[in-house]
Amino acid sequence: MLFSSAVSFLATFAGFAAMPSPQAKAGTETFVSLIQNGRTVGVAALISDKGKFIAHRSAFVGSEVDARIRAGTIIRLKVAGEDRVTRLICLDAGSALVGSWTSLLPPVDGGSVELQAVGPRGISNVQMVDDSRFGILGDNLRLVPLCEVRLEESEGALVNSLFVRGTEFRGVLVSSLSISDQPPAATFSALSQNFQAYGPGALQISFITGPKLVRRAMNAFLAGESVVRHPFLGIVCRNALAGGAEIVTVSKNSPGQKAGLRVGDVLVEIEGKAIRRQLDFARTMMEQEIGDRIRLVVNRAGRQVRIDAVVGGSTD
Amino acid sequence: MRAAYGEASAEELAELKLRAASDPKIQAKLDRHLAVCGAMQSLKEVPVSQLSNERLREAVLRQGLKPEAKRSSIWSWAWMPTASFILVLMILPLSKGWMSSAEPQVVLKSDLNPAPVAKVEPIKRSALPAPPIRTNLVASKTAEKPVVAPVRTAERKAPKQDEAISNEMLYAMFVSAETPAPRTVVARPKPVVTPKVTKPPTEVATDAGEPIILVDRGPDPTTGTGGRATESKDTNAILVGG
Repeated sequence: MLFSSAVSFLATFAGFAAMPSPQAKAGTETFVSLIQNGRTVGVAALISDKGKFIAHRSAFVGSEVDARIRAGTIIRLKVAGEDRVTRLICLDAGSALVGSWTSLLPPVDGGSVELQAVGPRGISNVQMVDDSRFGILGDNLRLVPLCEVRLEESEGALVNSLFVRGTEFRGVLVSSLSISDQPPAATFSALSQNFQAYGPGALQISFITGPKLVRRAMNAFLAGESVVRHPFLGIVCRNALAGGAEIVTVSKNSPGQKAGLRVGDVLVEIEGKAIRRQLDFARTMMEQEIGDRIRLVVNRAGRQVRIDAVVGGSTD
Repeated sequence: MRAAYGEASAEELAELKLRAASDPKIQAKLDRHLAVCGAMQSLKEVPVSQLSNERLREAVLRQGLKPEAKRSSIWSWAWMPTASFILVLMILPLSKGWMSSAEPQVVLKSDLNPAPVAKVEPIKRSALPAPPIRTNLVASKTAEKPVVAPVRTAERKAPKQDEAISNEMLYAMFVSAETPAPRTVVARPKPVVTPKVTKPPTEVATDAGEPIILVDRGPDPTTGTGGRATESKDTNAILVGG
């Protein structure tokens, strides 16, 4: 029911103009089209009653962009915040917004697997097939949760798209697998081969940001922060042959260095959780919050050392 | 009851059929049950003792009371080294296979230069097609299922209660309408299980699922999707930060 109503509302999105949110009242708006050099380059969604929008960083270049609302009015949006990990940006409309608007909410875990990708080319229905994927993003090699989604359209439908479920903002595209363009079928044989490619086998597979990551970014934007900070110790680990996560880099003045971590230490436990390889360390760090005090156990020169560290924050 | 277990004599069965004939519903249930009973008894794999608690109990008692066969004092132990040797021969090749698949393999595509778009090998997933994949990124699931740390079960699962009363339910299917008096259901005796006292394993940070790892290689300007050019690596070789 919710899905069908959402689709019907989303179907009203035409001409790349602003569109109502799936459950918004008639006449209200949530999305705007981003325009640069006279071309529609992306979409932004309202996330705050104070005129804050969220969009994909790759939609445009610079710190300002024009946005067209449904009535055709052009307003100017300024970049007010950025998350270098998810590549989400916060755009501020200031007092330029007029009319009735409805903002999207941060994502919640679970729920329907049906999403919509809202982009400058229109709307695509997307199915979320797995919310337990991971990627390593950013200069700090941060392991982040991703969601795998599939859709029966080419990747072009996802250009700078925003992923939405009902009134939730679910995130943006991280990367995708695309199927190469097939030549036009000239013969019946080729046509039949192409026909066989339809169905589940021809689904586009993409990865979008996980809900936890999106919530962190949205909360930072709504709090007025210009950057989004993620939990950070300032260390890089590799898989230790004997088990554990071996520290190969400790950044200067990082929380890890201040706590006494050294290159060569092998992390074997964090907060009572066994660390059997480097991915365990990365996943455990995902669950931490900035400012948390955590207890680490490391193997150093054949003996175990307990170290207390305070989780810091990093923008990438 | 005897009719339900297929043990009623011809006279008893005839009387039951006569009584059931007064009600078409009971008659239909009786016919259906007799047909099922006949089908079950025709199954050679099903021991007769399974159709009757009494027979089962008798069978257990009969086997339990059998005198233990006397064994030669020599052959009572001589088979053990032979069995151990055979077991080792069987386990060795298997363990090699497990070890080779213990760590997941993620397809690696590193030739991002000079072409900005990485040509990535098709994902090795049975559910996916194998069309030529042009991608700005990559990621591939591991070919093998990851090894999950063994977790000992603290207690064996007890047999289901409803299995023990299935015969009673079968009987009630067509007899209860005629005999509304309450019945005492005697459950089949459960095997005595001694719970193993085990120390709970240390909680492990990782879960059982093996992640698909996308390694960011920077923005991919060629597709215009806003996606990142990515490559994937063997999870053992991945550096992670935090």
